[in-house]
Amino acid sequence: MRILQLLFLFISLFAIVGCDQFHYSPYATSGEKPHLITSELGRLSSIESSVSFPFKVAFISDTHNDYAGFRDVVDYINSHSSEYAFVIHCGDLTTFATEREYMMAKNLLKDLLVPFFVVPGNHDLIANGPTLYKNYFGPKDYTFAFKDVRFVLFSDNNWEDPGAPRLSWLESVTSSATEGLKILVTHIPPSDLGRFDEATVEKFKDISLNGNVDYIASGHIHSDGEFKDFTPSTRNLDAGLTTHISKFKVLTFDGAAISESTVSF
Amino acid sequence: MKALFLFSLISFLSVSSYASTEKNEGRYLDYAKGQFAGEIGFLSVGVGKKFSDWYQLTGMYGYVPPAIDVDDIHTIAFKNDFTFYRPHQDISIYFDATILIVLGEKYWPALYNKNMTPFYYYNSGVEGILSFGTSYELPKKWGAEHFSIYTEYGVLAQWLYFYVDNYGVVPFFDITTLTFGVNYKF
Repeated sequence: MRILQLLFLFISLFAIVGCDQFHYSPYATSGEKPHLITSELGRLSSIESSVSFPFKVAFISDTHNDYAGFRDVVDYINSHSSEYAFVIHCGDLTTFATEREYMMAKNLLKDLLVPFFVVPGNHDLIANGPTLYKNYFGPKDYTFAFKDVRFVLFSDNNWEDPGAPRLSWLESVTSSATEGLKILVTHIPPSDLGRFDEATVEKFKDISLNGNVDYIASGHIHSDGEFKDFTPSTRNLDAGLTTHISKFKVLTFDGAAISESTVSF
Repeated sequence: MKALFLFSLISFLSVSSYASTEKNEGRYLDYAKGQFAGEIGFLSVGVGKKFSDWYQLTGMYGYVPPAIDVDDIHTIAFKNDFTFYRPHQDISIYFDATILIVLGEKYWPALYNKNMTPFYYYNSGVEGILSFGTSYELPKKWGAEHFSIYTEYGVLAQWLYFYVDNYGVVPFFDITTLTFGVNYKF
């Protein structure tokens, strides 16, 4: 009996000292962290001079809770890291937007040997997702230039992110960009009439045409080719198949030329 | 909602002090619990009924204060405890299956957003928690004959699924959760 009592006390002690095992709610958040987008922009800036044309950018998306598939694509890109300048995740890192999901996704992304960037997906912004996304990654809308290519990453999760898409901001940064090539990255395809009204889709088209946008990369749909090219001069890149069929999309930049390819891993 | 928490806490204390003068037989409720952590709140309080030697059901209200989180979180939990081993009359080892309901519109996105169909999202405001627990009745000589303490070690059902579905990628200790609680027998 004394042994059992000792066993019970041991378990109790384990419970008390294992403080990191005490969780108050699946939806609790643990506070602000250093924003990964800020640190990755610094990483990208430090490698820009060492990258020459042609360079590749890998687009992954909708990994949700397929962490094994996510691990596979991270391992594949790492094993070919000299080929890729950086990686962009087009959103839906999580399914329920809990902190544990954010932590898992962050840990997998941080294993990448090349810089990475993300936009929030609709699943990432439910429950306390907006706070968690801000805590872990930082801004939902941001832009950077790399080797004369302007990348504009923004949230268009209009049902989950009040105010999105922030079209005036998008128009401003797109029209004022002076780089030779322009790539928009978001989660929901801007031509999705199930999500956006016709006026919003038309505004997206105006921004793309007037801003000479070359590509719009997105995820969300989990298919390839469901949406046609957005305008005659703006191509559509569906990145939502990453872990479902072990493929991801790549844009190769060679001076003023862009080519699209699919990598199976 | 803070008032609801205070009300529950006061009710819990009142019921406990009243009940301690009564016998157990014929009661609608047999015990009250106070719990720390375990995914159902920073602190939770509730009452329950012991239906048999091996099964008891507890209804609990849980609260996470804004000092800990970005917003306060309120929950309702139904703990189903199935005792399967009693190595000693004072010790119970049991399996717990908890149904957790997280209160608040943002945890039920598809129900409250007029743009979505009701099942556009799985409404994550309802969760399951599976645990193994052990309960220890405090010795009478301590003057605490109505009290027992318990610990539970468990996992959120959705995380158990993710763990199995991604075996080898999700660390086991990233998905588990600990509970510590006090039980007051009426």
